[in-house]
Amino acid sequence: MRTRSNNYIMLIIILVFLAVFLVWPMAYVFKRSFIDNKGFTLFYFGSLLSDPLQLEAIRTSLIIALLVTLVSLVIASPIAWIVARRSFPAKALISGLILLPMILPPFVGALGMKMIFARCGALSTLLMNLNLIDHPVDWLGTYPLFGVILLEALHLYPVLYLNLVASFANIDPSLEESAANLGATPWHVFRRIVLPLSMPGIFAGTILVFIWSFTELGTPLVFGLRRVLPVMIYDSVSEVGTNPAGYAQVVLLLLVAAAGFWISKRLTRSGNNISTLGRLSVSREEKKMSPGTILAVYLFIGFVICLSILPHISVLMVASSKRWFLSVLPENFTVEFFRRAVGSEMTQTALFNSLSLSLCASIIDLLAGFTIAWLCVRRRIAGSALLDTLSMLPLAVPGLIIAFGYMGCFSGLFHDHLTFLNPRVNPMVLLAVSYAIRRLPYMVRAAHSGLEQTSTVYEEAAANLGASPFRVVLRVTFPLIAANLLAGGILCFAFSMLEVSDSLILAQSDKFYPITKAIYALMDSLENGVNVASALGAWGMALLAAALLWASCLLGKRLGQMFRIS
Amino acid sequence: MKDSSSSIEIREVSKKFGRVTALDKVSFSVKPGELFFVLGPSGCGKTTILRILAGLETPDSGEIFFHGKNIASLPPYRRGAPMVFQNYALWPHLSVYDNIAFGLVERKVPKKEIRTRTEETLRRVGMENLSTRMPGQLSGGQQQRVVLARALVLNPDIMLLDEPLSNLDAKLRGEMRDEIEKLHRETSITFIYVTHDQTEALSLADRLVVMQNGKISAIGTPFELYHRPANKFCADFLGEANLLPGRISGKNGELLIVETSLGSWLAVNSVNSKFAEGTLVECLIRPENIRPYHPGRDTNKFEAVVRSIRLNGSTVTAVLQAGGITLMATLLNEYAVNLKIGKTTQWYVAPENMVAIAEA
Amino acid sequence: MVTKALDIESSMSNIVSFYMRYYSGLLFILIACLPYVSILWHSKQNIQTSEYNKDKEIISIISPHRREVRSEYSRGFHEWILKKYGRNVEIRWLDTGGTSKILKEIESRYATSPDSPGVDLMFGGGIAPYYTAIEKGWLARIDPPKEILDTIPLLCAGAAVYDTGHRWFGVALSGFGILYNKPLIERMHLPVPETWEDLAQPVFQSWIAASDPRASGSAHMCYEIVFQAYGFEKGWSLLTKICANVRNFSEGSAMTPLEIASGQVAAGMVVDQYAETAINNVGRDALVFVLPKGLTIVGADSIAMLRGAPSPALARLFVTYVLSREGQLLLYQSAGKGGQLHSLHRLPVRKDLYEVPDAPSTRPYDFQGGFVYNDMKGMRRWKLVNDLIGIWLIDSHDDLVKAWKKVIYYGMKPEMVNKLCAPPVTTDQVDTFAEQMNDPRKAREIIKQWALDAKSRYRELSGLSFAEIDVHQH
Repeated sequence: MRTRSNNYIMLIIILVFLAVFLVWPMAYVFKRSFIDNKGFTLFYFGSLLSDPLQLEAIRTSLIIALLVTLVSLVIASPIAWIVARRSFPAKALISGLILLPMILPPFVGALGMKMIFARCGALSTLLMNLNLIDHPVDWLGTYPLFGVILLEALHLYPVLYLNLVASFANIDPSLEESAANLGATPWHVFRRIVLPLSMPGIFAGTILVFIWSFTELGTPLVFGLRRVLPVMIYDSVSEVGTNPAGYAQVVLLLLVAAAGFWISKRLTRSGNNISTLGRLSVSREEKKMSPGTILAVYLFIGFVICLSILPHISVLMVASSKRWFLSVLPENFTVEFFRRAVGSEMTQTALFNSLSLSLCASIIDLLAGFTIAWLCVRRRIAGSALLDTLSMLPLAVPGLIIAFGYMGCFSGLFHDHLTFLNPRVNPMVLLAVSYAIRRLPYMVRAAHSGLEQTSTVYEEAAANLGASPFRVVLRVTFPLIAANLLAGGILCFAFSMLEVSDSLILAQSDKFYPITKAIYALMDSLENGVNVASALGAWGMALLAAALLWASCLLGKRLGQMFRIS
Repeated sequence: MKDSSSSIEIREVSKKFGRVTALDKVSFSVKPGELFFVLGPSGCGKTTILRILAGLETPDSGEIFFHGKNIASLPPYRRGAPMVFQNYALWPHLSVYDNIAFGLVERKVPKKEIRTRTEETLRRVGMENLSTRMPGQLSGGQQQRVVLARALVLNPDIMLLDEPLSNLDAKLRGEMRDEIEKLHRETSITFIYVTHDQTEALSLADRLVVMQNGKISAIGTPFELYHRPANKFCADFLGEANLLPGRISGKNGELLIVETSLGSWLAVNSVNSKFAEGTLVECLIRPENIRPYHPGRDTNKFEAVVRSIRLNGSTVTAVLQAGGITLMATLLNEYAVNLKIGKTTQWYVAPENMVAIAEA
Repeated sequence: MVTKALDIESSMSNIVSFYMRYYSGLLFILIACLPYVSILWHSKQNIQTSEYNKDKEIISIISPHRREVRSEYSRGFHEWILKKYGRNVEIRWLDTGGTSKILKEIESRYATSPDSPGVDLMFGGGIAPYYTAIEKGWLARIDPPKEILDTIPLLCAGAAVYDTGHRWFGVALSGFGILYNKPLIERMHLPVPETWEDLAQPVFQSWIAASDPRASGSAHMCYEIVFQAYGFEKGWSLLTKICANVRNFSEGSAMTPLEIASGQVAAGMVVDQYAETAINNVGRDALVFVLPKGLTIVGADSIAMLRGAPSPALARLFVTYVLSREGQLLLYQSAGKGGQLHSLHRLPVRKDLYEVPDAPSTRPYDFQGGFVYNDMKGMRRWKLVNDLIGIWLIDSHDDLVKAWKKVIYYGMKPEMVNKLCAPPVTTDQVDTFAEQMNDPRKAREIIKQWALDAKSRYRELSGLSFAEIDVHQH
């Protein structure tokens, strides 16, 4: 009896935490956009949909999201098909490298991308040196969306790739064999069997990419695009107390995200039904390819990977050189900017802020994530389904919305007491909480898969030998899934170090800047700010890459599961 | 070279998966309209034969003929040999109707004809009321019928069945077996039926091949293989077997004289084997062929102590100890009433029921 | 045999994966620790900079000043007040963006708690926002020591340097002019720009940089100066052409000099301190800053205390400091002198500092404006100018550029130019519109209408075919 009530106490604590820091901010945003001091009104939402500038911003955001999704599909589909169905040398290494662009923050990459595509930057100069053009091409000035779309697509295609590989690989081979056996050509097998069966996974991945690119704040901000919905929301943060127009914009984002989440949830649920029907039959034999095809595959994947890390390499070059203007490669290499990145007061504060915030966020996630997974997998108590859905919600709800909601609901409330929750006074607590909420799904998933792979007999044996439930968790469960928890924790930590939208919105004064906000603040600094920002960004990328490497060594092939929507 | 009297012929087919040999120079031919079984324990290569026939695997060497035509180079979708998959492989996103119509659509059959043929086949397997169901909503037996219908609707010459009954419970299995038998009777389809269940094979097959470790162990009619198996593996695999070692000492007309520890016995040759004098052999005696002695049956007579008696229902199995040899005898209940454990009794085996097979 | 081989293989891979886990973990920790170790190492070497932490007081300032300016004031004020009064004060800077955002932020703060905004001082953004703040009743009076005020003239080139009601004080003087990239101008065979009119020439299409006045006070000043120097209607026509030449508008006014310095564009309207900083970074051979003769002003960048400031005494001391000799030296001393880390390239308001040997080379008090700059006028139409420029020239920039290119393509026919550059508000209407823009709902209506008008005007121009032009002419 007591352990059951303990379970419920834990459940309630976590539900309250999620309700206050995840559900309430969203509800508040809704309330503010439809209710003002005169009562219910559709004025703000209506003006959002009738103001041509706002409509243009919505349209631009939609165009970006659609094109990003399309480009990601074009990149990810062939790679996913080949990885799922063919065998080729060094496949494990290559399929690991494919994931790399996903963890490199586009916010930082945009800095490098701007240098490559600058009017007198690397590409223009290269083309001029090759006498292909005589005037510098203003890539980003002429096609302002080009940089954002390319960068986001190169960042997000691995998400789609993971979902595609999973759906291609999960189809029972006999379903395709029987189709071929009954007379379907390979193309017909693909069209009539493979495509319909992998549709749920393809849709889920596509919708995820769409939502993420629709709500991405950092990349358009760095590229200087003002007329996109997320940036307009960011611009309206300073009016959060007085002007409800921003809330209406956030509600629009929220509705799009919620619709996407709902659709993909439904799709994956019906997808589950399909996959359970296929009884385990012959394991799939991966076909071999001819040397020529292998070369073509290498070239294509290599090209994609190079293209996606090119902006980040360029960030490293910006960070280590003084001048990159009318030359293909930068000139005057120096370590000065790395020194300044750890030397100025603002960056030092930012580094320490991010460190403590990320540590706090990881610890919150470790505790909450493990408890959630444990309650869902081991206890299956009433309410755990709700818990599971809630904890997966942050995958679909953009950080922008949560942060904006925090600004709205916590800043006006606490003037005398609980001021530590007021982001205008001290955003640190909310920053840590928002980081934790953002990365909670990864942690829950890591713990989830750990618990599901570990048989309960070990725990039962420990209980049988006299260990109390708490001691069982401490002495048996925890050590058994330590690798999973560690990997989840590392990723939470590293991602939190470079969390963009929450940081940009919540941290308003120097003293509380995390690294990303410091990078953003440095970018328009007159005194080589871009270089110092790049130095910080380059370090952040190295950190994330090392985190992914470590996590993949800890989890092996299961790492990919953490980034899939289902 | 082209034996057009055979529906399917495979010649010297070999296949390796990595270092494991799945098939080693396997050859056999199947006559038109035959219900031909490939029988063997798991891992013997029997499913590989089926997948090679369907074109789902490519043999490393060897030739395959359908109606005298070499089809080794044809892709699976042009072989026209529908297969019933062990796990059914019903497409979960298509309804029963669409599953069945799939092959017709691929063959670009006119819409109207697809409709009539599909509906007719649905009726034939008794599924006409469930045509709009999805596979996930069907029971195992119903799924099995759909898989059969999916192949039948194409009016094939050849059908490949991969352990079609293995996922069904005992009662359904009996029903489906009858259904397949009926199908075989009513159509002229050549069936290749893969299974590991010897009762299924013995009861249904026109002819069967027994496989062991990627090689053909024996080939023949069920009757031949059960009663005159060519080797010990085949003898063992097809049913209970008592094996009595001995040496050929001479001939008595068609019969062989075998010296065994129970005396000098008469035996028959197994199919296709000729033993020279002095060869060491094993003699197969099926348990139901050991009978209580009654006068006049003086050949192959022996005395044994009854060690145990087990009731099977209509029959009784007795474990007999004769000298150093243990034998099993299966008797009808009426013959068993006199048996007592520990009592020495006299037995005999008819010479035609004692088969000399090569020592392993 | 086979199983044995497999065992060896799997135990090998176990060992490998153990080392992989170990070393990848080590790598991660190493990278993670790198900056922190180097910071700690650094601070160990500079032990003297770590100060005693007794009774730290905090003063909060909301300001659009860039980081270098803020960090110099943080350091300078800390040292000054420690030396003079023995108090340990730390400045908390609030950065919400440009001047307009600061006004919105303060408004939002007064809206949630009408008695105290939780901020002591508002610092920077020129003069105009301080007029707005006075109108809203946000500013409190401060009386700095008389000997300090005596060194500051009331006017500079016809514009006020501090409020006679002592609610705001100019701290530094800013000149607004043109910054251009000399090598780029030469390479692209562009004319050397010397006046605002030069920037409006068609050859500069896509080669001009400018900032959004809604985000930055100093950007706003550039536009307001053009209006006042040429008169509203001529000024609008000029600004339309200049904005049609702009490559794209950036948010912060610091981006304009950065874009010029990095060769993305050739020239732009820039405030002197940013221009000087950029010149200092890139070199005097590459960048040149000019003040258009008789067509610009020198304006004061100001400071004021907010009503209900949490620590008013400290706020008054800070104002005294920024106007004191030490505080003023900070503005133009080059890096290295007096412990300064950054050169701020600004001009002091104290006249006495121009009479000493190492005074700044620019002498703003000798500058002849050529026209009288009207601060009150500028303040009243602050929002109107922002929205006019913002809606007509920035938000509709794509359409504007297309129309402008069409006009250029057809040889700058006067009637086309007039149609493109017709002011949406006549000189007489300016005051009424300025009034209406302060009512949010009305402003929303006007803005919506303007957005539609601008679009249809530019689309009409860019949609004209050659035949239609001919018909127009005859």
